[in-house]
Amino acid sequence: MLPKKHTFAFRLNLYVVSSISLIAFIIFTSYYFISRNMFLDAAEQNAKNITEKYVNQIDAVIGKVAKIPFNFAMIVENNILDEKKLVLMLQNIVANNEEVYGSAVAFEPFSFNKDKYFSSHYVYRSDEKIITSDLNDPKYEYFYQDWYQIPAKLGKPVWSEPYYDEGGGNTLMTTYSVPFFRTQNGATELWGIITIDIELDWLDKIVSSIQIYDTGFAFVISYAGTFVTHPNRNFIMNQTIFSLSEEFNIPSLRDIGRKMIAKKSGFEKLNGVTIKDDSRIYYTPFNSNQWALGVIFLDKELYADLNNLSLLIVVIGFFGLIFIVTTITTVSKKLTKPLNLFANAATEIGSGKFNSKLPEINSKDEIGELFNSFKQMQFELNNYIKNLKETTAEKEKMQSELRIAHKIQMDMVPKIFPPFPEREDVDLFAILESAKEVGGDLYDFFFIDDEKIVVLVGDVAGKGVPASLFMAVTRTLIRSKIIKGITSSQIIDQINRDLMQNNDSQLFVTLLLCIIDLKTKTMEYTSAGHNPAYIVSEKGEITVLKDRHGMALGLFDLQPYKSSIYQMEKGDKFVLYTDGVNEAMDKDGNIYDYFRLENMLVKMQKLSAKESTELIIQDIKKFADGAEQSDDITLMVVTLK
Amino acid sequence: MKKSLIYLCVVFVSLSINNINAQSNLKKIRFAVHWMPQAQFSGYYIGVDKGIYKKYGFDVEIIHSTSSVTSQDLLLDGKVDFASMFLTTAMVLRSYNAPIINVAQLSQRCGQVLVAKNNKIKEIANLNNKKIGIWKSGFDEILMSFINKNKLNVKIVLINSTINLFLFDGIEAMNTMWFNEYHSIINAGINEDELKTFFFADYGLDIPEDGIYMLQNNFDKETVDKFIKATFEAWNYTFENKEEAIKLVEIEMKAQNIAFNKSQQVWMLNRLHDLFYVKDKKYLKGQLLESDFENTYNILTDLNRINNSFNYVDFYFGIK
Repeated sequence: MLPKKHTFAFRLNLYVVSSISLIAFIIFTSYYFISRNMFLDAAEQNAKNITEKYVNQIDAVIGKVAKIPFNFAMIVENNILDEKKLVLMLQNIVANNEEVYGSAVAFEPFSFNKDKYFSSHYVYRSDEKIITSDLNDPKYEYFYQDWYQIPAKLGKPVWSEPYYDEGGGNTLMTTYSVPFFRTQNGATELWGIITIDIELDWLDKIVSSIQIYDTGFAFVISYAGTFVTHPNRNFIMNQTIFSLSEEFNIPSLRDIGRKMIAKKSGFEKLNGVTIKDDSRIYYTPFNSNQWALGVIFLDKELYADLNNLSLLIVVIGFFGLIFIVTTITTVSKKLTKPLNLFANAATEIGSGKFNSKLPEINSKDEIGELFNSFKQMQFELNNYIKNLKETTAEKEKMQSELRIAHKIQMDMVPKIFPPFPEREDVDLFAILESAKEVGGDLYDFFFIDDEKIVVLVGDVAGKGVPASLFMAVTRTLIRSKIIKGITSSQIIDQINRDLMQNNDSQLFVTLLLCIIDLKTKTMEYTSAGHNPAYIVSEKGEITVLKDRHGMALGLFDLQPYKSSIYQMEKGDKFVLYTDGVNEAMDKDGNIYDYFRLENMLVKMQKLSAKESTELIIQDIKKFADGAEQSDDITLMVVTLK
Repeated sequence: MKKSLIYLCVVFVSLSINNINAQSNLKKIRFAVHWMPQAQFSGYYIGVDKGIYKKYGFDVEIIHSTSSVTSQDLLLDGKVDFASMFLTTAMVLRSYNAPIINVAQLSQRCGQVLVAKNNKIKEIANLNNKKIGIWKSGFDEILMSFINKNKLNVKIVLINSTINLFLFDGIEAMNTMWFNEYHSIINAGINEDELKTFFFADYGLDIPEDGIYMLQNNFDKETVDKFIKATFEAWNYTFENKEEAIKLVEIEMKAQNIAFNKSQQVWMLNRLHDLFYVKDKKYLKGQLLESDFENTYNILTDLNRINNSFNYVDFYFGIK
């Protein structure tokens, strides 16, 4: 189903899906965390409302019963009461207040009756009856009981820590003790304590009924942190919030407990080693005593709705993405199907079938434009190929003709060596290597008579067919001018004039023409703008024939060319060349140069003309090191024997 | 073959002895411990529950004392054979000619500590003119000695057994057992760093506490030795198997409707171990050192608690 890698559909999916996923992720994450905070705020408010409601309810009960001993204390302080009246009042308190389990009045030693160390009365409820008793048991020593001692020492009312009633029943109780005072000898002193005992069943019922989310619960702790109510009955009276923190290794619980007994309210996260799920606690103190109420609920329940909604969004998002992928894949395939057909057509066209049928497209969209472009391309390609065929044919024809021209050109220069095997007074060798198929260099040699030999080397400006034709004309003209007794300068003059005529193309040729008398070894030569030739003696001495007698031929007829005479010796080598030798280049554009040429000349004194020529040619090739030859190279060596 | 025979004989003899024990009525021992059920006595619960006493030929019954009926009452009335007691309590009794002797000293260190809230009490001198709570049931000797030694002028407030008067700030300081009330205060939400503690052991008042006592007339060395040996074996097992011991403590406490708090009892057992096994003190297991006896005797004499003089040899019959 998924598109293959590198296809248009795949990439489109990749870009679109990843972009949408990124945006969706950002939106979802923002939504989730903002919602979480909103849920948390709502949960805090909810917990606060619930706890305040119940705290008010509990405070109302406690506050109501707390007034009873207060009123009683005022009566005792302000009236002279005998024991009967005291007992009657206690009986009324217990009988008329169903929340009150028992009530006691206890006096300081010898203060109610100067003969009695213990003086107390206690009235309590038992099986619907009101029992009247006292707490005067010497073993009990009520002065040292918390309910008496703490308010007595503090001089103010105190709610006792919770305790189980002594009757052995499993009723949890608390006692509210109010001290009362009398004035003796002008000084106010503690006279005794009035108490009411309250069963805490009602408190447990109220607190147990508090439910937050599914498993959230409430609990009450006393001033010492002891659990007064808790869903886990084992905790009640056995554990304090602090011992629980220690036993179950929940350090945060200790801090929370301390805030609770310090009468603070708060909303906090609870976590610890033994708590599997994160949870929250909201706590608030009672106003009427020093106890505090806490509600705990699990984060997962707090966020349950949010998590369900988020899951739904994720699921919808997932299927949405699948839908997008499917749509993109389908549409892409539909859109790219013609492209595939075009690709096939292009492949066919590429293989040479220029008239391949293009896919049928009638749409006017980009694909339609592509079809038109393809159609145009096919047409242009056909034309191009047709032209190309013609051009290629022409080019091939031309190349063939050039090859023939080259052959003709090469045929024009003598190539049979040694040219004069019957003569022992001269050895001659020459090479012409064209840079292109048809070059503009030339050389020639021939005898005028038995003793005089003409040797010449020339270089037509430019290369190719025009140059070679100019060269052929020059060569032919030279040969046509040769008559007995003619000098090199005469020949040059005549040729110059001939070449100038009808030279619309402004071609020209440099030429070094020498006439050597082999008998006298006298050489007459004329240089028409050509490179200086060398004479290498048998001893290796090099002489440069620097004389130039005028400009290259074919352009101007300024003044007659002159000639120079040089007396050669037996064994001298006469070296003629074109600028293709000294201007041969290597790959880096360095020039072969005269210096290197002259170094080679020294080495050739004992070599034949052929060997000498080849020595230099090989050195040039070595120097060029495979670089393309840029100019014709012509070299001729004539050795006088 | 020969070894197998010997093994069989040993097995047979052992079985026979067990049978004899079972049938021939284990020696009945009644043992009073000096407070209500808590981890302080877990070693004895283990001794009974794990059959350690039985192994030594005793059928031990543990009797808990209360604030009204103390272990010394039970011992002097002849209602029990052995009783655990504080050394000071026993020595005061002895000075009044009570015929009791120490047969083993378990605790080797003073576990009492004076605790105050450090917002008011930062040093000993701050205790002057302050109210100090102390148990009505006794154990006041060390504190009184501390007060005298430091020439303090304090108001003593007798309290029953809870820490509530201290929590409600009805008193500024309170004498506590390190292994018990001290931790109860911590478990009531007061942090250790909010308390100033005076460990009496650090003030030259390091006198040992829990020991095992009996009436001199009933002294039978063989029985006593076996009983003490069994008792130490039981305590060793207890300290090595604390979870098991704490479970027995829970059963005992719940049976008497006493609030059981595991962290409190675990703390107590751990501190008890510290008091039984003091690292930098040389003594034999169960030994009451003569120096400890003399130190305690002098402290009690200073407090005028010694009525008739007596000596170490007449008082201590345990391992030497």
